[in-house]
Amino acid sequence: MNRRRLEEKIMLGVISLLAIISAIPIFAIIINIYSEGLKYVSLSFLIDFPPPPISGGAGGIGPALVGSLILIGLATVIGGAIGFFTGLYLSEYSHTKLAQYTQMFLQIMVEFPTIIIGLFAYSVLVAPLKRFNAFAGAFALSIVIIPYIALNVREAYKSIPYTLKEAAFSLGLSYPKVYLRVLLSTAKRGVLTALLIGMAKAGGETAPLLLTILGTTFTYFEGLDQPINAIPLLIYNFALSPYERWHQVAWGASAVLLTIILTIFIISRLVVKEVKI
Amino acid sequence: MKSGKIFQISLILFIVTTLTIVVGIVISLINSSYPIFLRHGFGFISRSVWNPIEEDYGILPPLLGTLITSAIAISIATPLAISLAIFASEIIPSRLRSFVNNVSDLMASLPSVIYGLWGLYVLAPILHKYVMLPLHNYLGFIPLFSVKPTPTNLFTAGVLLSIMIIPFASSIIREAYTAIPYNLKEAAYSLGMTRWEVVKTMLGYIRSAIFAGVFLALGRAMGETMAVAMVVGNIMNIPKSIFDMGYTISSLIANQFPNAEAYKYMVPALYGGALILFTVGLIINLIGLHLVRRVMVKS
Amino acid sequence: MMMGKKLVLVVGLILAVAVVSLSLLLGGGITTDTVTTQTVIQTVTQKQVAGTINGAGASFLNPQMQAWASKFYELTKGRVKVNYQSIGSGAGQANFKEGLIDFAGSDPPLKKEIYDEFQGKSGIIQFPVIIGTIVVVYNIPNIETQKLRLTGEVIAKIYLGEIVYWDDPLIKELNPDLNLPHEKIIAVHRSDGSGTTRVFTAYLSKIYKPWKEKVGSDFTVQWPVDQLGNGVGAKGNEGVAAAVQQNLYSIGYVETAYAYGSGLKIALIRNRNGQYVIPTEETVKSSLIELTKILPKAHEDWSKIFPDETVDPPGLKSYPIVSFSFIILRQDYDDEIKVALLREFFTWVLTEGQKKENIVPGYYPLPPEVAQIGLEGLKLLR
Repeated sequence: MNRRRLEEKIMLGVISLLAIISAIPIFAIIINIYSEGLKYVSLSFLIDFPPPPISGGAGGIGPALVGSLILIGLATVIGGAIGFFTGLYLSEYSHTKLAQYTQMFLQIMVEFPTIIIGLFAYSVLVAPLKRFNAFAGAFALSIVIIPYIALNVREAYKSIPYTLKEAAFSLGLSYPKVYLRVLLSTAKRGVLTALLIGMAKAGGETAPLLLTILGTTFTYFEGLDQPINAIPLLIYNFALSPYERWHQVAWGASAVLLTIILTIFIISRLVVKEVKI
Repeated sequence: MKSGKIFQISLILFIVTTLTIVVGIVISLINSSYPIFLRHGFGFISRSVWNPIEEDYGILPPLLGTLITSAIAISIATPLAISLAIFASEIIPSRLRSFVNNVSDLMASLPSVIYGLWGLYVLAPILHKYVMLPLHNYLGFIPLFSVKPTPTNLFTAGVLLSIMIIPFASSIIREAYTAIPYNLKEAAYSLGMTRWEVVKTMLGYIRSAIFAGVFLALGRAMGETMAVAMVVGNIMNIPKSIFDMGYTISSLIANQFPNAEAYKYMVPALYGGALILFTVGLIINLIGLHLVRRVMVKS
Repeated sequence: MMMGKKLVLVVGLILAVAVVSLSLLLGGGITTDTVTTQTVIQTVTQKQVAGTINGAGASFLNPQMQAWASKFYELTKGRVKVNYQSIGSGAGQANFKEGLIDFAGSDPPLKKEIYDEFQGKSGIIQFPVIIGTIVVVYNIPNIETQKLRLTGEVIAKIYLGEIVYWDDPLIKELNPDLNLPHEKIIAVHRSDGSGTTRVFTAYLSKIYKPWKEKVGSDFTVQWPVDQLGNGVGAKGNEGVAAAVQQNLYSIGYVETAYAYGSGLKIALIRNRNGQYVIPTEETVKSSLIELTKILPKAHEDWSKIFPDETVDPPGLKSYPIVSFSFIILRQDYDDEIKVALLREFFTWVLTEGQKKENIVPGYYPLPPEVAQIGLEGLKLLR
């Protein structure tokens, strides 16, 4: 008996230790990024152009911040629309073969290396248009987030009690009214969470942007067919440079990016608890 | 009923869009990569060469690098992910549960470029000093640790990947664990089992969910690009030890794609790499999804 | 009358703004109906066109380019925006070939194949804008900077994997005073396609024939040292600098600005006359004396001469791995605004931009006769 108790103590202790070890990195990352980065963040940091390496002022990440917000917004709209309706179909017509195959495809899509999506966006929107452009970046990001949104929207609609649906139909409402008004108001937390998860993914994704948006220095936004910048791209470019000032900008930008992601994350947690990641 | 049909058809339009994109990606991969398979055949996969001057490409090293880094990631992540799942659903008081779950979910949403930055400047030097050098110094006779490590190598990439996939694998296991019928657990306790023995039994019960979590996380590890590209070393070399520097397929693409258009066959070679990565990932994901489905059917 | 003129001006300006923003929005593709308003812009603003030009390429050029772009943005009060992204020379040339960017920055000039492709189409203008040098850097704890002496042959043998340890007799022979450790040399090189690699391997090819036979010179080469597991690949000059800092007993090659920026130790390299040199104003000047005599014109093919002929130049004090950074333009743009912007900016770069206050440390200004090549070339821009 004693030996079993001892074994329990030891094993549960080991498990707790391992669990705590696996959670250390996240805290280390957040603390590192903020302690290194926050000191460079100010209002002008959020607005100004990136600085030259030596002379001139401290500079900022204005174009990248604006670019990221535009890309996140656009990707959420495109990916959100396609993802939402795809998810709705998966939930309401889940018995069809089409839904089952699509669901499998989506689950595979979640796992697509995002650089492959970048290659795809490059070959359909950059090479033919003969210019790096914001739209290609937003398009690639929407592909990245479609499966997340679709699968979460599906969950949200699945969780609606059948009786509610029945009641709505018995009132003689049309299909779009039932699904997009009555049931959406019930599922809205889940749908909102789905969109927020999509936004967070879109905000942090780097690989597809390498091949699509080029990056900018002195322009915030000049149209969807023109190059644009994004925070993750700027971090990737500046972090490995030899100039102290660019390192500082990269750390500051990381703190800003982390804040954006954390904000989206916290909002999504306030909205609802259970999600698929 | 008519509005129902119209509604269904308009939804199908979106499904078609989604499917078109997936199929489009696969077609563009095949279409852009076939010249390299015509040129080198199986040699494209079985040889180690990246020589743009001769236009000769063989991606064995990045393929091995992808498999090795993912294997390292999985072997570290699996015990940690299981522990985290048990810790969150069994050990801590239930009011702390959502906090731990939130932390784990947050880990999954951090951008990989942030992981990469942290991996390069914080993790790599620590691992180098406190893990890799001691392992090499004391256990260097084992071939696995035989190469004198530099801070960036396959092992560092594997560890960084494991950190990135733990929350993902853990959430799948957690889901399955909390879905275990309560009376099953109760029955176990009533047999006089200790908490550890119950946990052990339950883990056996959700075995396939654990495998599923591991496989899906493996798929994710194989596709990860940015973070790995920053810490893997990026050289064309058949690794002899996990402390060797190497390439992964996705880091090869990130490094080489920008200048690939300057050559005739480098673009097909990179798409070829992507196609192989996609195929291997697909197989692993299908196995994972199949296991998940089995779990679903069971519960 | 006065009122009328003012009104025309105002309307013209409004139209101009509308057209500029519209054409920016719609991809700058100017259709026939906007041609008339296009001339309005020119008469109203007297060629003071506003807009953005997009360029990309050599990471070596990046710091200097950002400094120029920033200064020019100030000088023109935001009228001319030069967007340059550091993606590597190979990528810059490839993107330029695909027509994705307005100009490319590159360490070597355009490859022969791409140059030929443009002949008879839109034509090419390429000219040096700044001089750089490539230094060999090392990380050996007890050896200070500018103490380690190397020759091109020894460097080639290290990257070939023929010299494996720092205390190899061939290195000892050059450095009798140094206490070289018995440690494996970790040879760091670029993992992405790069002009720096092109110039560096051209130097090794010229100095040591076996290198030319076994490896050759290009943006990316197959590094023999990798097969021994002693190589490290890193992305960008910045990546190589970081990798050398991170790896004890490593060696690497970077453009000088990056070496100074990150405080790396720089090796002395033996030139043709047996002198051990590092890049200084004096050694670079010496390298350029003979070089400037063989340079072609902006519209000609530079690929035969540069860098294969220009590395390891004669001259008593010459630094052997001197490199130009090039700007590559088309002759034809179908877009008057782009042409005006490109001409205005690069004319400034080749004149005012070469003054000491506008040069980032680690770079060297062009001799006036070399700057002249670019100024002549810009006249071909249509």
